[in-house]
Amino acid sequence: MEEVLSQTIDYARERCHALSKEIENLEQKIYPTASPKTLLLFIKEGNEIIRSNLDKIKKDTELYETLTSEELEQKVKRFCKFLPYLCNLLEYIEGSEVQNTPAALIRPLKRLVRHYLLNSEIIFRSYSQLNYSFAPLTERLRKVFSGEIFKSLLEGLPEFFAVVSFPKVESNYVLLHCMVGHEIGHGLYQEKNLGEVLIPLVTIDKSALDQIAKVIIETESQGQDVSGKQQLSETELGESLRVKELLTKLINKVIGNWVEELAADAFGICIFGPAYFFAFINFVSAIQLLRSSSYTHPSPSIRMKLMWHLLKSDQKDSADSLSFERIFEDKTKDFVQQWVKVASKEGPPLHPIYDIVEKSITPIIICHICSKVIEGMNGSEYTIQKYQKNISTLCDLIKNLIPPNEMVDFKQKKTTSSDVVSILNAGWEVYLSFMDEFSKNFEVVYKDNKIECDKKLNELLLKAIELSEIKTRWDEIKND
Amino acid sequence: MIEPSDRLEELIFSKQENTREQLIITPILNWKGQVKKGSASVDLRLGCSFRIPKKSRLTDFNPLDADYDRKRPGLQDELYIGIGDYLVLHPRQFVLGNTLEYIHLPSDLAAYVIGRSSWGREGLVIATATGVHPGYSGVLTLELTNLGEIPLKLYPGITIAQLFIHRVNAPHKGGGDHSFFLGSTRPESGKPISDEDIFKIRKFNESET
Repeated sequence: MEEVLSQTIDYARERCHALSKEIENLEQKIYPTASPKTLLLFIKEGNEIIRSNLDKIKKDTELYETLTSEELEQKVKRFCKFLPYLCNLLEYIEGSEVQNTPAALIRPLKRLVRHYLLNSEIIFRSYSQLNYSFAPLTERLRKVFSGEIFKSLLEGLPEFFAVVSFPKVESNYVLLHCMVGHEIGHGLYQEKNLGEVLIPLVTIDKSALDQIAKVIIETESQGQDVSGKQQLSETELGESLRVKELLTKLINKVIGNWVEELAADAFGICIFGPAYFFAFINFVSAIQLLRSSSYTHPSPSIRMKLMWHLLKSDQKDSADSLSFERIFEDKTKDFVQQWVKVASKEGPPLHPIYDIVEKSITPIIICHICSKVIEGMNGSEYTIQKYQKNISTLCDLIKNLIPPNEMVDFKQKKTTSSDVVSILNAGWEVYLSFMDEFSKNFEVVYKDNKIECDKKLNELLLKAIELSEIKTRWDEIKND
Repeated sequence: MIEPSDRLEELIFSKQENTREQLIITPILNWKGQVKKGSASVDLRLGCSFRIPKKSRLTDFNPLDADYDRKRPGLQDELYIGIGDYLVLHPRQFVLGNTLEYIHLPSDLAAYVIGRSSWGREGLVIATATGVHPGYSGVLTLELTNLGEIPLKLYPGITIAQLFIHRVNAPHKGGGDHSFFLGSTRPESGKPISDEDIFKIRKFNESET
């Protein structure tokens, strides 16, 4: 048995060695920010703790005499069981290298997130799924590595550490990456515990729930019609209560998921302004039915209703009481109206559970979600005033093939760097309203090749984001 | 006629009705350092994007090859090196880089980009195709080669080249640059011969009379 245990330790050390070799490889790569290396350091130190403890057990001959073989095996496994988890974490680092991300966008995005979540570390990585996703790490890591052995490891963990993944195939299409606003929204929703406030506000339609319960019991009773009965038997009553309880649990879970998704959308609008709405339509409409809901997500049509509610609302602090809706260019207005109309159309019947949840998310609930999210932004949302002040100047630059990274004050002979959100909003306005003018720059080279012109627009915006970030950082250092 | 530095500042900050007729060099991180008083050029910085040729099984690089455009992208690695980091350029190594600044020339201005002599003395050749046409918009691609004997660390953000701006005597209004490189945001490899020339060169011997 001792021999077997000794071999087990050796094999585990081999796994540690393999992991450390992979860490060394990944350390050599270039990342756009320090965040991936923070996670890499976590994995490295975790691996080191496991390896050194295995060494100790191996060398401690007394242990072999005092512990039973089962106890010894347990002791070894106490450390080894973390190895697969550490290996899984590497997945978050792969795809975050400069070659696999629009590197120039990552640093400004991190800066943007830090504006809302102080001292946060976010890894932005591309992956093979055609989807954007958010994975919070801090709580998860604290839970998994909660024992005394990993105490020192957790001390260095950032307060808010998360991974935002985006589709690799869309890596260079920066306009789409406004979808990241939704993922940041998940972080803010969790950080501000909005679920505790919002979910209790949603009430389930009891009669609809009773109706589904009856149908289920009927089906379970092999087709016996129980709906017409005046009184249910004791067994039937018990069964009915059990079904209702299960249904309520399920519906509450779906409500919880949907409320979080809707709140994340509201955060997306607050952070990125209309650009998030446009990116959502562009990305989601291509791959999803407008009226299809799921256990985790409400249908795109409900989500669009919420976003539209925010965009058409007058902003309180606005002196002229403006809404985004009113200041869009004509073509953009038409685009928005068409989509809002489609989203508000009645669709085919939903799955009964989703139908109940959808009916529970009333316009009042949508208002509550929006107002709580705005409250959570503490006045730092992207404002209509900013949009109105910057967008037409920035659009003019883009139309003329000039990156909108700075605005020139000709009188003062000064330049001011544009912020990433204004750049993206101007980009969307050009995409929706001025693409013909923009494409004219390339009429000799590409001739009506929309894909190439879209690509050029995205490249120009990425350049603007890069240059704006470099100038901002340069001036920050000068002023230190 | 070369525009002196004082005049350059004036050109950049005098608002034109039509944005296309505006001289734009963006961003200029350090005005005093890059547009020196009494000089006749703007110093340009090294940008963050590079194209590095890689070893391949391709036996030659033939511009008359029908598959030229398809083969070309696979022959270079694209690399982004942020400011603060560096690229090592080894002796005899060739890479494409670009200026950090994005340039737009109105229809009455043209420019020449040349290396800074202090880098030239270290063996670094910066640009060989140096003319920038009126109406051009984009970053300028730099052909970087280390002709020296020791590796050079190239930090994006360092001043590496200088741009001399010339006035064009009879500007072509409404025209301007329509080249393949228009709107470049990173180093670009181009097609060295036009399709028309390729056709004629291929047929040259066939049509001998």
